[in-house]
Amino acid sequence: MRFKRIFGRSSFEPDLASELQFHLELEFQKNLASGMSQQEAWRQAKIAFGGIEGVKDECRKLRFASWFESTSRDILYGLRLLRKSPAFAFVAVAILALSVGANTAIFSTVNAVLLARWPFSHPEKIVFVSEDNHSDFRWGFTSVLNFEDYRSQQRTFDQLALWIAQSVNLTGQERPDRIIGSFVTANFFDVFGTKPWMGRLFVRGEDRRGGPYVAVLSYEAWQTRFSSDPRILGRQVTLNNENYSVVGVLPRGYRLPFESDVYVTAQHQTSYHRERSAKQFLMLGRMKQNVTPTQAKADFSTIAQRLAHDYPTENAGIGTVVIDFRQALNHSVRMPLLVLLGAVALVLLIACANLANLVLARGLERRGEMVLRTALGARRTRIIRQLLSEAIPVALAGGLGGLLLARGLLPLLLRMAPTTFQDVKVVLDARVLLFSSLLTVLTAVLFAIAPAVQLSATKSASALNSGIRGTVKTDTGAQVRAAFVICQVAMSIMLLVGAFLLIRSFQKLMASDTGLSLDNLLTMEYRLPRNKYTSPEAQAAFHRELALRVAQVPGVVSSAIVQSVPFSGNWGDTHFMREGTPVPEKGKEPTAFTNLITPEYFQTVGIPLLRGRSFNDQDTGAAPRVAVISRALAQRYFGDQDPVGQRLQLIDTDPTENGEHLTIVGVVGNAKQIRLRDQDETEIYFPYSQKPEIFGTLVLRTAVDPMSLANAVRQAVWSLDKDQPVWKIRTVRYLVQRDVEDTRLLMVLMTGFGLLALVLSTLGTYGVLSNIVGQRRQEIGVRIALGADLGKVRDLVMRQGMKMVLAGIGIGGLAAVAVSQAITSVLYGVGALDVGAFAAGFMVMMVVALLASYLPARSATRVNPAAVLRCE
Amino acid sequence: MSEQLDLLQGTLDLLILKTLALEANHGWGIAQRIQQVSRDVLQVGQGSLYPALHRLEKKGLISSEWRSTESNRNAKYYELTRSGRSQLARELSEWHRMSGAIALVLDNV
Repeated sequence: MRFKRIFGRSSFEPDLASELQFHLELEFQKNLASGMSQQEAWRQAKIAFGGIEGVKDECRKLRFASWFESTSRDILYGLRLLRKSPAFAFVAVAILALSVGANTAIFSTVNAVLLARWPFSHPEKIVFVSEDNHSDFRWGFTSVLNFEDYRSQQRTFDQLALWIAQSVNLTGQERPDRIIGSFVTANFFDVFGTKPWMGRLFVRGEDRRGGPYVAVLSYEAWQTRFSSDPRILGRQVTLNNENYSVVGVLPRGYRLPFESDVYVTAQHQTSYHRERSAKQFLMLGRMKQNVTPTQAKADFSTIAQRLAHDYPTENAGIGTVVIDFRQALNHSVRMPLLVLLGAVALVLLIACANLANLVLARGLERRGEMVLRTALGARRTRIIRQLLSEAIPVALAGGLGGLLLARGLLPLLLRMAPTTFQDVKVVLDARVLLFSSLLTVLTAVLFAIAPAVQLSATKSASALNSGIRGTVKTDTGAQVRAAFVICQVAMSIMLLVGAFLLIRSFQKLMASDTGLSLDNLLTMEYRLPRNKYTSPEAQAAFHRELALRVAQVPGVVSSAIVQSVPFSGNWGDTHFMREGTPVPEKGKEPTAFTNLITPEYFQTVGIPLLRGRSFNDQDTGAAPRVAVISRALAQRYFGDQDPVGQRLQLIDTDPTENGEHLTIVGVVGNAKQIRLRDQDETEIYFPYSQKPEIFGTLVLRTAVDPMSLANAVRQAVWSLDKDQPVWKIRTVRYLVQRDVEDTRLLMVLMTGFGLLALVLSTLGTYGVLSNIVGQRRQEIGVRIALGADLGKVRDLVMRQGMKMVLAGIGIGGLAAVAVSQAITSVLYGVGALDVGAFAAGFMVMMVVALLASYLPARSATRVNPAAVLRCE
Repeated sequence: MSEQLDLLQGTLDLLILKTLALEANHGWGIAQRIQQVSRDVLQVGQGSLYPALHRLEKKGLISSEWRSTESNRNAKYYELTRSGRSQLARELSEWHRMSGAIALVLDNV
């Protein structure tokens, strides 16, 4: 410590020098007075004084022996101690590095996904509003007319906008392509408070029917699609075969929602209808400054009730959901991430308890030292401080190791769930580093404070005696450490049960049938421009012709067109009823997925035809309307009756479909539509030839590696229409893997954390028991000498171990019930109280704990009574 | 010199406090006074005096101030603070108890 400029130090040195000088002079004068010569008097004064620099140094140290200095001394001392016990150092640092590393990795994903900074003022005021009447989140749609009523009647929002994101065809470039478009009301950007980077955004009235064809580009689209054309403003772009003129470019990084490339006004959306039943749009708004979501919800509920009352046919049963827009965007990963964050925090706590026990055990060996320090006048706080400081090198090394580990682990983690994390940038940024540092410090305090308090509390006199004789028999330390073990086991049980629940979920998920045969299935999507394929016949003809043409490509076994291929994220649904049955109550109508297909679809994807027939070329627009239903629908609504020949009536909200009557011509096997975890497999298939539709997904079964045909198939599309873009060229197997990747990631991580917890708590149990055996050597030796049965001695120790473990399992079991209730939303096919998962968790813990108790117990039976007694 | 005794650390603090209880003084003065009052038995080495003074000042038991001496020289004077005074009282009674107890043992055994 040679900080010259510490406050107050500046006058210290001269002061000290003149103080000592003054002393010397007085001494000199005294010597003179006693009759010495000048020279002698000076010499004697100096001799009497001793080394002046030594005195100065002593005084300096006294003044400036600061907190920092003593702490760094403690840290150095701690380092020396660690060097003397490398095994302890290694285990402690490894435990810390593992848990800090896991925490850092998980936190950095949470940081990137849930805590991402939004470049808008007061992002918490931006909410998504829907007319849903249930609490589970989903993107709920509304109609343009309802929206306009909400907008004019509400009092809680500064801005309320309408939007829908959908892929659009971009043509007129080098080759046709598909980009993501957002169809929005003119005030959409006002919700976010975004200003244009170039040009202008939409102005009032542009979203009216008959409004102009104007487009706003995202910065990224401007860069990549239009090579940063500086004269982009006013340039014409062709979207869905319509010419739009570019009026503005957004600032860099603004691509909400869903990575949009281009924004156009809502009335240009193909399904824009000014009819109350046409619910095709989403609502988004910025609440007024002092309005809470609850108030906004109350406001909208009143309007919703009015709408339901005034327009019962279209609006009966509507509710109101108001949810933070950020939460809406990441709702699907939110819960899994929170589960992981909780799990990894538990791991850290277990690690802390473990380290605390290690430090305690080591501390007991250092009891003599502590007692001596206390006897020599060290205060209790000083000793606690010393022990805490000694923990710092361990914590630092562990924290650093953890960071490195996290850096290594993160790419692996992200690679396990490429689609889940595709839009987020997970990095170890300043916030993550801060988090990890805080975590490390906290860990050090957590694992060092208990032992420090414990050790410093030892009463000197008694401890000096017992410490010197080494026969500490009962100490409260043992109880503390037992408590730590119980906590560790309890927390491990929570993690293990959680892990088993997820493992069983994943098994169930993987065992569930997609309904398709997945091998060698390739898909790609396209959307026909409505103004080019205007008639239903032209649309149907394109789909039919494309399917036939692709089937001719060498390597293709069969091909078909489907509107929403399973696991693509696309789907449609409808309300329906059996013809002739009473009209169901509003809001309680049967629902089924809908899909449009060309005749060869079932055969191509491997859905078996169970009854009747599939569609054929006779099912034209002029022929009677026909449908094929899934087995699940047949069973639920027709029971034992044969549905073939029966009739369905659609009661959908889409005005073009309402009241349609269909004859069922066939029944096919069930297939999952959106996710593998979905239970609902009721589905109605219609032929493309009887319904106008511009969107299609080409599916083809190949005899060769499906991806190798991608180019040939694209060429086949272009041979039909050179301006038609196709996109999302993917295999169905990929789609399924993508669908389960989040479940798998969660399962893998939880299993990892469960194992880590298991290892840590086992080490903890083992360590404490070994220590107890060590402390009770004398007693055990005497017992053996007196003829105690070795088996009994072993049981004695085992019992002590199992008592702790059972207590931990009991407490942990109860806590696990709460945990599993909390995570039900991420489970599949297993109940929160799944007996199998709980039993498996308990069993694993028991077996491992038995082993952990057996080893110390065995060593207890090997105590040599003679040696022990001689020691005494 | 053989009859001079080394001082235990705690004892030196006590002596300094006691000396300063009479009047404020500088380091040399304190040393002289202890030596005089103990009839040359206790001689305080500078090597322990000044560290002790600085230690006591850091603890807040004494405070220091630069003043002029009678011979018009600048010297650093120490004086007892309020907490120094009560500390002195405590340590004195402790000392009396201790020395009484030791005397009892020594006289009676």
